[in-house]
Amino acid sequence: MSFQDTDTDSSSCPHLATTFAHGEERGSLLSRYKNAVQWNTRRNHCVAHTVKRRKITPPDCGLCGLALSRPYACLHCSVAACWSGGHIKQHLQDMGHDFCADVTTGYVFCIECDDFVQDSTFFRRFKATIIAEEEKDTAFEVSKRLREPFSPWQPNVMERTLLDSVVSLPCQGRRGLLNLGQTCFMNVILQSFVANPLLRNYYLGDKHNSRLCKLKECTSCEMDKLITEVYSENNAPYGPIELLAKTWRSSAELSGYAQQDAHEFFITALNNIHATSKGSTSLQCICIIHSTFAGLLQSDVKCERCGKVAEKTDPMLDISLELKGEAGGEQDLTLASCLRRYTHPEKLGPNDYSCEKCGKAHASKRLSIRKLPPVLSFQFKRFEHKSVDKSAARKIEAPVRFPSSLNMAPYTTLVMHKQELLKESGAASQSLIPDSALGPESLYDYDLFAVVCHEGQIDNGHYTCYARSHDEWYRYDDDKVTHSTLGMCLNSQAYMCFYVKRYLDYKPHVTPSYIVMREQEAVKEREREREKEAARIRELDELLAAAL
Amino acid sequence: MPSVPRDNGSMSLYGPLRRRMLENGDWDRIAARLARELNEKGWIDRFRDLSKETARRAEAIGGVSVDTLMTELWPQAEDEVPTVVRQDTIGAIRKVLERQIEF
Repeated sequence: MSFQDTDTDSSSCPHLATTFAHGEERGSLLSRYKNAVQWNTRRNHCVAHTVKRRKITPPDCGLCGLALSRPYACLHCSVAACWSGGHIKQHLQDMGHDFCADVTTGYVFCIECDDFVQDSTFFRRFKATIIAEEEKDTAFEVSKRLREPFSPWQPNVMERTLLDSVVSLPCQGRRGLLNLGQTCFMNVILQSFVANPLLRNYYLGDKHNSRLCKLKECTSCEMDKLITEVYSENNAPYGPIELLAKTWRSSAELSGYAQQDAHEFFITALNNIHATSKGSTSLQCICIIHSTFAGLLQSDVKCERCGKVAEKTDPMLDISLELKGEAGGEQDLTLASCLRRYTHPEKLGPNDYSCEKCGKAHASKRLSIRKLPPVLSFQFKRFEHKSVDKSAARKIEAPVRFPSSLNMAPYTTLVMHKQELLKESGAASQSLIPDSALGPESLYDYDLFAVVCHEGQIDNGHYTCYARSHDEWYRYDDDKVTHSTLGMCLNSQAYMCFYVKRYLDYKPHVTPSYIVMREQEAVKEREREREKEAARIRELDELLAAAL
Repeated sequence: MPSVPRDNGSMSLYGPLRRRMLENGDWDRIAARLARELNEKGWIDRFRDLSKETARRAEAIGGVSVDTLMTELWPQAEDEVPTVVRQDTIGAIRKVLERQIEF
């Protein structure tokens, strides 16, 4: 889907469709809409970081005169009004205006339909405006350079021609996976991969074409085949036999028909796909797995005696959260409480820590997230192994409440450090982000897209998962796929949760080094061919000359 | 949507107080904190799900408008706000008002 405004608008409101048919009216409506949304985004940013005594004037309701906390902007004139008391509806009726918009959510209301209406043009304009405004608010700390602006993909002439000649396949993008003998642990992770927008787009975009790949035992190819099978016209459950076989061959501990741990398979699969991806390196890898899942964990160890802080960062692919030993018992566990515990200072005794300056001393260690990955994976450590023998273990059944939207700001290094500094100087910030330099709140927003659940005992259980497709939730129980709800998903007993960042950060486009090298090689190869050809011609000439 | 308080004595104060809170950013900060706390308690997800599924069921009988949904679910939503969140928010508002009003 491209973002061209000239593409056909899809709308549920016939009145909007009529209005949009007139170019000038359409332009004026969209322009007012954009201004309203832009104003609101700017105001949010100002408000979060008010300099003392600076006032940010809100508009007044055109009907009752109260200052508006949640303005509804008329899209035909410059009036804004309250929703409550029907003020904005009154205005629309009095003036014969049709549409207004809630500046906070961007939702458009049609007085003729007497309801909010769905429209893709407004939706795209809303997102584009917010992103553009927020990019202006976030500058790099040291270089002060602004963020790389997002620009929606526009197909060029050649691409347009190709797209026009392409045959569209009807497919749901949802397929059950056959249980090949206690393989539900693998199926749930595979479903979470299919539901993962970055992984899905990578393979749908042919970035690893299994028909061209020459690697043996290539797991990345199996992912490509899986995505192809899911996004096909075939709806019947699919059996990922080859993927299972490759996993057995590469990881002996996961082989056999016994029940395995889904999280173990998750990490193994990530490592296998990384190893068979183009351009993967052992340090600072930019393969699809690391680009999607890799973050940085920072541990700060502060010596209690001299106050010196030793910082160390470690790469991470996911976050494993402890459940046992919670202060309030194992009731009322939430993802937020687990994260707070995870980033809470931990006391280290003098035997555990040796300060650079003053030797063995009491210290406190604190974990925080230095770099947030685009996809955040959480594991709740439900399986407590009492000894090396896997069978003597306990499963923690307590449910953990997790949200459909999560803001990670309080657990990131920069925000935590800033809050500490402010607390020490007695100026603790009320806002989520204590410093405007740390970016708008939305930079840290994540949305849930998949949940892996486990029912039963540790060695005799069953894995199922929930995954989101746009705004609808589906339950995957091996080959059975059923339409579900957000409520069902959130009430399940989660073992793993997957969140995706709402807004991605972009780097300026740079051709990957392995492609550059490949091009250079191709150029050299062509040179060599030319030389050889030239040499052959010279030889022929000499022979001819000698013969004559 | 909350109705404007009709107690005539304090009615005259409501408008200017509200404007000042919006100008200072106090309103938005308290509202943002309320939203965060409600999200952590699962309240936001509960009502997002409830409204969506209610609307979905109503589709079989011609659909339901946003206004109707709000009227139907508002009392339950207000009732289910956790006590501690309610107290926290009222406390925050009170603190701001104490700075603004001479008692």
